[in-house]
Amino acid sequence: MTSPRPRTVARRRLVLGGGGLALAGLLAACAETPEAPPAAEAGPTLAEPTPNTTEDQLTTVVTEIGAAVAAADEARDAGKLAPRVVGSAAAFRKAMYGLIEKDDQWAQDLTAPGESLMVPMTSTDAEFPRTAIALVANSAKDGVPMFMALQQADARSPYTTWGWAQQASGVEMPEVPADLVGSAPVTPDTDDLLMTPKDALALYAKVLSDGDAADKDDKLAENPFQTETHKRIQTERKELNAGVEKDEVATIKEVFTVVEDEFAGLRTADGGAIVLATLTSVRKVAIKDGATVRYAEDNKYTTVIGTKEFTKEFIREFGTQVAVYIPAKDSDAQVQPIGATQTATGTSGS
Amino acid sequence: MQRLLAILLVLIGVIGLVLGRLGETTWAPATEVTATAELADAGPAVVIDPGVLYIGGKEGTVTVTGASDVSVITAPEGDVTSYLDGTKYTRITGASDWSTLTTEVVGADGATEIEDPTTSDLWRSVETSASPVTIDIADFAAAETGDNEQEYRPILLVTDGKAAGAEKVSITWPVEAENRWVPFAYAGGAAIAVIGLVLLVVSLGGGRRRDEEVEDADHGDRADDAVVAADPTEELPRTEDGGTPLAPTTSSAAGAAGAATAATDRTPPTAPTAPEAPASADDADLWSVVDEDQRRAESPEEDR
Repeated sequence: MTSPRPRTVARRRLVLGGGGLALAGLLAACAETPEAPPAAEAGPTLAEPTPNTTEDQLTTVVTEIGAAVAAADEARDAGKLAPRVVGSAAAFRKAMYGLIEKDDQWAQDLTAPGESLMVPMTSTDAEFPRTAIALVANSAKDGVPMFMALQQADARSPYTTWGWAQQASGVEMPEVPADLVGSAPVTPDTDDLLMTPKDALALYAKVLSDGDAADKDDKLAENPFQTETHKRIQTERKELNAGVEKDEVATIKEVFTVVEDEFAGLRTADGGAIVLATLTSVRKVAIKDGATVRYAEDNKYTTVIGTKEFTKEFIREFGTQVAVYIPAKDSDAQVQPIGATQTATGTSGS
Repeated sequence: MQRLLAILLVLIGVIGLVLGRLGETTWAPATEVTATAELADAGPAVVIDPGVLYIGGKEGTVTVTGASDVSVITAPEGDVTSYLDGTKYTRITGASDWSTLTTEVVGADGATEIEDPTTSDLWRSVETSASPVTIDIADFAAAETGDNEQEYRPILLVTDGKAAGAEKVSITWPVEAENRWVPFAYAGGAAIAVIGLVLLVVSLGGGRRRDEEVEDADHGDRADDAVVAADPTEELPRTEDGGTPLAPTTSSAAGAAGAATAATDRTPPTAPTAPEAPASADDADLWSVVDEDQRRAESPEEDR
């Protein structure tokens, strides 16, 4: 028997090694190579727009507002209201702290929203400024909830509130869309409602000022705030002219004015809208020449003014945030005020 | 030759199996792919565009590396865009290949700082963690699919509003790629190996049978020789003239009987003796037969 020659062995090894490598390379080349990445997809296109703000986001906002108001009320420092509480809400609060400083009785008139969100109404409009309306708990135990106007001026600004209106008792509330559905916003000039919000608010202010006679078409429904306001004025009018002819001593009138730049409105489920706005009012007792109005005891107004006796006028100023439901255009219903909170902002007299 | 072929087939089969295993392990395609964006001077915010997370499927991990704690913020795309208006930031827009994320700088001349970027009311969620931060793609997808179906959301990445929103973003997706030839390598290798083994067994069995046949054949020859020796009358050469046969040289009974018969007929029997020199030419032939038989018995291999 003879051994293979070295050159033969080397050749065999070369062939085997080369073949193995070639096979390995072939198999490796056969390995699957992934396809090129696809372009990023935008995801599903939704049939309806979704709310621009979630309930969780609004909860945070409402909580911070409630905490800010509580902190400011405790310190009687309107500076603590920023940055969430702005506009009329901050101005009214600041005025009220001034009155409280002069007479602590005013503190009883402080009503404040709580930190709990009860019903959110969110807008489906992505544009700025954005609007939301929240029904929030009252800070007082067993207090009536409040409608709170929330607005975000731009993408870098926080949601802020310029006011809240306590829900009216005994009034049927409109249904609002679910928070996951959201509501379309309305503007003061939206015209597919029973009347434009601007007109509805103007009518309400006029009726508050002049009485039901101002609503000739009976478009405005009765509401507790209007009733109470008129009742207070008529009561005072009688007291001022007790024992004399009508308005012989003094006249009394409260004139309401809509604050133009504070408006929030969102659609309700029935195509109507809930709008929130601010009214300012001045209640003026005009004393006839030669007459004198004298209060037997000091009250929280005379304490602030510093006199119980008036010969010319006695003026009280208020700020009122109102919530009004405006039905859809083809509705038979009336414009229904559904909330109001009035705050005294000043008083004077001579 | 058959055995060599069998061994060769077994070897090829084993190689096939080994290749199959290698194709499943060492040569197997990667089980995940990672696309990365190295961000230099990204601006105070980095935005991963909607849907980029799902380019490789709705499973995987996003890893974000930042200079400090990284905040992962979600919000609708329009909100993020509005928020970053006027600010320099970097968008991650997709992947050019499975290892590279594509980026785009927006507002190169815009502001390079954002004040308190985590506190906006626009943000649906804000999670701040130490760098590197990971995002589970499946969890993220669950928040915008099913009952929560909505348009895909971008992810906004920020640090402190001054430093870069992120320095590096990697997205890793699992992949299910495999070598298609692996099952064939396994199947082919196994089949060839089995055929080779069968052939090997057959060839080994055939060889053994041949040996046994040769052995059997040898034993048969010896038995025949014994018979020949036991009955020399049939084979023993006779004289050409039909003369008297030579006396038998074995001590078998048959021989003895024959011898006895022969003795009765011819001459008295002679006791068998060890073979020595042939007594005659006929004796020499007889002894040569005996010698050949002995030789076979002593060296059976040489006859095969």
